[in-house]
Amino acid sequence: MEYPYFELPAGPEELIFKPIIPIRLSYRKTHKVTNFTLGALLDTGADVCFCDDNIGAWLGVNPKGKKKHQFTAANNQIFETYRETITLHVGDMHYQCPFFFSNTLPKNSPLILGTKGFFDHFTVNFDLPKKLITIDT
Amino acid sequence: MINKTPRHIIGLKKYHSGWVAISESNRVVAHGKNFTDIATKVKNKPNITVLPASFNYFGFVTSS
Repeated sequence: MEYPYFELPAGPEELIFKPIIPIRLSYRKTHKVTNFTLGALLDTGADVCFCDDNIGAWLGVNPKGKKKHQFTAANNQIFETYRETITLHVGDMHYQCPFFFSNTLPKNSPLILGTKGFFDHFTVNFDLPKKLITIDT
Repeated sequence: MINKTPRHIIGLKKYHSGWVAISESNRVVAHGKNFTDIATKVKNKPNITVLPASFNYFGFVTSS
């Protein structure tokens, strides 16, 4: 699977290339499916996959009673998440993926695909000079 | 066949918050104040990608 980088504004004059790929999410417990794709940031520095809890609420994920998991951001700020398994659709593939839901993710990065759940499933090549991401199983 | 050129989004700069829906031709075709709003607006539109809207996507540092 090949995906072009997104070329996005970095303020009024600059642009930045971001490794964002289109994915779909669905939730077995509610049968809710995104019938559109969502831009998800590929982040090799993230240990797990993160999702904004507004997307979780739309899918019907209920945070009540779920164990809290803490993570530490780059500025040492600790943030709390809850875990739920969501179906991640990437290209023609789909599988059950643990996501950690939070209301404190950066506004511009509400979906982050990290090591556990994404990079442990694929071989990913980031070719920034060609602005192309290649994902192989 | 996949378009291998970077996805430069036309019409994105006027949206600074909420969510946008991007067509296959990389144009903003809908805006929503929140995720539920954008999901409703693009319900029957094919080949849409939804992104958060911002005038500045720079400055992300990995978060785990």
